[in-house]
Amino acid sequence: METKKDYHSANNLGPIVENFIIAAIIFALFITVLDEFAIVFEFSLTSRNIILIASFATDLLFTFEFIARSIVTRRHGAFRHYMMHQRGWVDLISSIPLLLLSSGPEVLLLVFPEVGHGAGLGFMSSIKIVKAVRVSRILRLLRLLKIMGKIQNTDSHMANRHIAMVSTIATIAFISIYSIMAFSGMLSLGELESQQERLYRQLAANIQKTAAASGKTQAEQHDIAREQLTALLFNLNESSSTIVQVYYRGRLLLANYKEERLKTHFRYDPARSAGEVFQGDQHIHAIAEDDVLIYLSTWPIARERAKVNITVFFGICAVILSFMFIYSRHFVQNVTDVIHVLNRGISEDAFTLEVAIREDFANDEIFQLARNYNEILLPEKMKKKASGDSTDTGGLSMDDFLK
Amino acid sequence: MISDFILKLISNPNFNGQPISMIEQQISNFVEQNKQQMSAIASQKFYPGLTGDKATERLIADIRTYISQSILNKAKQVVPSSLDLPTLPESLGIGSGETVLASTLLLYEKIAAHREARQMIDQYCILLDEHYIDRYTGAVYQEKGYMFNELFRVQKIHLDLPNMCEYIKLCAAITPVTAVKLAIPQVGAQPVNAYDLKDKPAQQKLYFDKLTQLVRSITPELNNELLAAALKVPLSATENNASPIGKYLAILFARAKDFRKGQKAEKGSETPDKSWFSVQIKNAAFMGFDKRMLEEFNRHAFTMKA
Repeated sequence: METKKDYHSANNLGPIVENFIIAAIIFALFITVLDEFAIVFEFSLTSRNIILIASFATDLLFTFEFIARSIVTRRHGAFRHYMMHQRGWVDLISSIPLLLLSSGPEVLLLVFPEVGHGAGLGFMSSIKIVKAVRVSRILRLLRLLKIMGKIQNTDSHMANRHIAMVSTIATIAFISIYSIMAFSGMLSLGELESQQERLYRQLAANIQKTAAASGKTQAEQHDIAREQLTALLFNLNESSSTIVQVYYRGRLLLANYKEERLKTHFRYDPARSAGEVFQGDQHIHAIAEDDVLIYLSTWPIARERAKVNITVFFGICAVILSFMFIYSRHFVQNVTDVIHVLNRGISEDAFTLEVAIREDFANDEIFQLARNYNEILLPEKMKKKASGDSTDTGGLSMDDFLK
Repeated sequence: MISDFILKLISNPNFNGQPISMIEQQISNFVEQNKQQMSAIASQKFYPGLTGDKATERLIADIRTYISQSILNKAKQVVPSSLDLPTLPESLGIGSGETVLASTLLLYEKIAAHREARQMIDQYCILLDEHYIDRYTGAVYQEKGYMFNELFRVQKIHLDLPNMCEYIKLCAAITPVTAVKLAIPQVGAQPVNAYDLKDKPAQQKLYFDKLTQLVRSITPELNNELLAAALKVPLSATENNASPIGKYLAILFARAKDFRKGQKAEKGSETPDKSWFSVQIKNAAFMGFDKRMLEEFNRHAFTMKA
């Protein structure tokens, strides 16, 4: 039968790897927050690509870590223990799903933009997948729990395990509520997206209808569409509309963003055909209605979502740090330290220190026990010692005489 | 060779911080509990010419001699450096401080062969080394509570703080003689000391008479007042004859007996002194200590975080 110590050594990849993983977790958490800030502050495409690659690298690393730990623990017959009691499940859901649902597809789009297009925009705009990708990003925050497991805040195993358990429950509750709300659309951003989708689709349909019904030539229809659109969007600029560009029968009808900004912040290639100018860009949503093609920027919604993610991240950080530094101190002082003193007093002949009893918690069971120790056990022990009945040998052994 | 072994044995990390007299006690306990094996080891390893029991006795005797000498050496070093003899006022009538010191060290030479006496010499060195008398008497003078009243008014020793400390130290210096075991025919066949007769005042008086004669034979010049004060330390606090200094020193000597050098409060525990005084409050009647003094000591230990 495996002992606790065996389980610990079974799930050990060696000090160098373990320290490297701690560094990687910290780096991954930094990248996770930076990724959200990159959206809020609209970092350039190049910066976001670097962050994306770094995210992919960490997801890949943690996937390898999970696989390696699974193999090593299985070899020692400790896989179940690893999954259930050594946060193997955290390692699992903060690695493979992220690689498959978040950074993996994004890197795929970066390297092969045509993949998204080839799927008829369906690859990225399939609402369920997009939501899964967005929600899965929050799983990165679970890595905060990984670091909880690595940092032993106190000398007490019991306190460390207890704090880790409470932090895990709080974090999982936090993330679960957020995920459920995000998936079910209760965060209202999904509704906003649907409203925009309906609005701009109707706009496209109206333009199409007016231009096509005029019975004019194609060039004249184009002018009619432009006039109509210009009239509708009179006095609306980049900051007040999410329309990036509008095409009618492949010809540019309206451009709300300057060319330079498009090039630095979007995957924009004017040399391509109208349907492909923003190929592979996640922050562009295309609405096609017959001859009308509207490119919408999803930045405003992404920004709001990123703000929520940042709030959730710092919320979880605050919860975990509070548990680590405030609650753990309280737990150690009022539970494990007391047990430590009681244990030494009971098991060691020479140990005669009293438990410090906090008067405000004096009615707690543990302090009642401590009071009995202070008032009954210790005085008896000292009486025995004073009356010369002590058989204390100071921990001497026969070896001390043989050496 | 045997002295090297004893030195190694005493330096055992398990004994870290313990008074050397306590180490002696623990080694004796160990030898007693493992008599058979110890006989074999002692005769094979240390005294090849001696049989098992004789070899064990010899080992114990050598350890005793080594520890006695260590305690005497320590006393010769600590006692003179801790006493500020010239400051004592003549009005106290205890004579020259130098004479008291010389008498004390001479007494120690004679009584160190007795285990209980050398334990008390060791405890006295701890009291001086750790400044117990200075620290707690200072606190007593600051609080001016029960103990101050006892020392200053009941015992009528009207001294300022530095002189009171020196006076108490000198009384304490003589106290180890009360642990010397003497044969008192009226008491029984076995030699006894003042502590063995704690609950028997009449027999204790016989013991003190004999002890006074013995001390006088060794150091005739030792001041009577001081000796009388020292002889009150072993008295139970409830006895009519018990004196405030005697009760005060009885508690401090007992504290020194359980003292561990370098011992600090554990996380979640009280400090060593606070723990000790607090436990002794519950054992006051059993130990024959003055409970109110212990309560005051406990308060001072808490204030001093000692």
